[in-house]
Amino acid sequence: MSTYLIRRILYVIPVLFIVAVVTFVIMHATPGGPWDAEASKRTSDPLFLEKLNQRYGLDKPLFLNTYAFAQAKTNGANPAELAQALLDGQFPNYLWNLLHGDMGPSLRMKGRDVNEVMFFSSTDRPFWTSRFGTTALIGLLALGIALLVGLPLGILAALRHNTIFDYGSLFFATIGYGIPNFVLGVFFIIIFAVWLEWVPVITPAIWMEDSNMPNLSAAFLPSLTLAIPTAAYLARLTRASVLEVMGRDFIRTARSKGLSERIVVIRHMLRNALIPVATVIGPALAGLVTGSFIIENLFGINGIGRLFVESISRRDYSMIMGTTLFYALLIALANVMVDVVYGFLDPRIRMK
Amino acid sequence: MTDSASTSKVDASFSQLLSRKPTNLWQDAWHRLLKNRASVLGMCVIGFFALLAIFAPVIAPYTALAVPLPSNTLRQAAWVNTGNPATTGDWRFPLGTDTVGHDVLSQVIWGARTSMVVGFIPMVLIITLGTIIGLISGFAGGWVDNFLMRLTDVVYAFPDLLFFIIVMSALRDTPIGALLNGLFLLFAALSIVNWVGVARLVRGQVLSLKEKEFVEAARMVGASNARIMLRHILPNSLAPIIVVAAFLIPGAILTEAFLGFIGLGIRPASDPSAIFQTSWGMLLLWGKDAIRGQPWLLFAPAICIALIMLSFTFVGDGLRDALDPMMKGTN
Repeated sequence: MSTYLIRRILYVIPVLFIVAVVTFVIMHATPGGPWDAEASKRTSDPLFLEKLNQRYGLDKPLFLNTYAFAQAKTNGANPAELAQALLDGQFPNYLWNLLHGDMGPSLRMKGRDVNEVMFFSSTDRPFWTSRFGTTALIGLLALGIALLVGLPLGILAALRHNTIFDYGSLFFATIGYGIPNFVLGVFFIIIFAVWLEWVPVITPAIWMEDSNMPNLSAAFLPSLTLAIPTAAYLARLTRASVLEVMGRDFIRTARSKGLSERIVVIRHMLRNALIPVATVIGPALAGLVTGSFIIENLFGINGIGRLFVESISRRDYSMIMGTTLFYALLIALANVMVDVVYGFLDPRIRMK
Repeated sequence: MTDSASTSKVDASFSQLLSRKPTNLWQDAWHRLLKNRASVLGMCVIGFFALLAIFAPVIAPYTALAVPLPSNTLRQAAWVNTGNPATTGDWRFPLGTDTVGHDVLSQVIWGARTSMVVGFIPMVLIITLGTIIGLISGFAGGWVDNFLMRLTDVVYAFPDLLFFIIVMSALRDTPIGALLNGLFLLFAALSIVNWVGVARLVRGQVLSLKEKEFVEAARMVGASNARIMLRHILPNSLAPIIVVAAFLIPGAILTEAFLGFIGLGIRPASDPSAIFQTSWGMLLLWGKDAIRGQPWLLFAPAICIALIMLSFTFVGDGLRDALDPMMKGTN
């Protein structure tokens, strides 16, 4: 099991590398750059631009610095120095810094590092009020809501099979799974914010100014919107799984032994029915992660998803790389979790 | 006496079975699909939107770019009376107008066109590309298979939405991004990401089918590889391909709507004779700014997207049940 686990986790590394290369190439193929976006009317002094490029290393070749390599060769440098000269390109430098935990300075937010923007809040506030903390809070709340709604709904629908309750829950599941969540979010905003005026249209800060505690009333609607497709999916799956287990022989045996209905349901039925459900928590998490782009943009929440979209339009190269790799890491880890859970539950898969 | 009665009953039902018109797999599946009420409803809704899309210039009161009533206020939906003559609804504009004076109903009808095209064309491209690669990979085996499968691993690893956002924002302002108002770029991005699933599915089908006796028999009588692939293996793996195709369409429509919503969808047309003038995603983006002033600017495209997504889900579920009755009810 442990070699299997290690192999699956190591698999994340090439995935992240590929994501980094592709993002880097597309980003630099894009017209425009960090210094000119939005200020199309204002042209800076070319000398100043040159200084800026030098300061941030943007004047170097993208991948391999053949110029420095040739120069080092004529100077008769040793192999280590030659390699160093060859790898003095933007991408190798970025990777090298990344391995040291440094994602570089932001090119558009003056004097701030990518690490700091993503993972730290302003100086006098605790780190969990950062953009990462915001995204994580919404995601965890959504996971909680999805489990609390999806599982009971699926279980009850199966136990009350072919009753009005069953049809109601199937209806909810189909709606939640068929209608995209940002469209549902639009309906929620119109209903709860515009018509009923229960919440403001623009979601207020997720972390309270004074106490640094989460403002749950602000976080509720975004989390609910994010949770709905996952809840619907879990409900469908749980229902099918419980229905399947209900007909098995061991349930009949348990009943004929005279066990109480409660024990039959909890100990015999659910324990077995929830195994396949456990395996989809991984993809559900991946869904919540990508869903956060949509939800943060819809509700105007200052999280990493919004940062990603904004940094692309501002050509903030280091921020684009940082946020892309962050999301790619989360999604890759969620996928690894799926394989690990499968491997844990089904020994045959581990052998492959 | 009772015995002979039951025998004749059995005979009757048996002869009924024998006298049934001969059907094939596809006719059977079609009948099962027609019995599924949700699917039929879904097909009706899709048909309705398809008609809207095809006949948009005839049905829509105005073009999407026309400004029939220039104003700088939001005209409300027709049944809303605000007391102010400049904003009170007017039946000439059933769903009201935006601040420029575009008719919302016309915009929504023209948007259907974009959504339908975005749903169907990438689906055809993806299925074609994925099937060809899957067939080659499964049939050739060896290093070809290995290479193609590693390629699918790479594409599979890249988070879809990140890829769409990066590609659309990067290449929108280049000549490629300008083709067909940006639709070409969107089709390309969708195809690059989604062929992988189809290729893996087809490869799996080929691997299991090529060991079957009927393939062996075909080989015995001297059928060429191409013939075996196209006449024997492909038709037998069509059912799962069709189900995947049915789910690719709403996926593409959703992607377009989301990209439009964050301002990265198709480029708004400037030529009133353009074939694709606006999209639902773009309308959502504008509607969001007018959420208090004119909720229908947001509501109308949102309802359309919800309806069409739900319809495709119904049809997709129905197709899966119809083509593979064994799978029915197991999610």
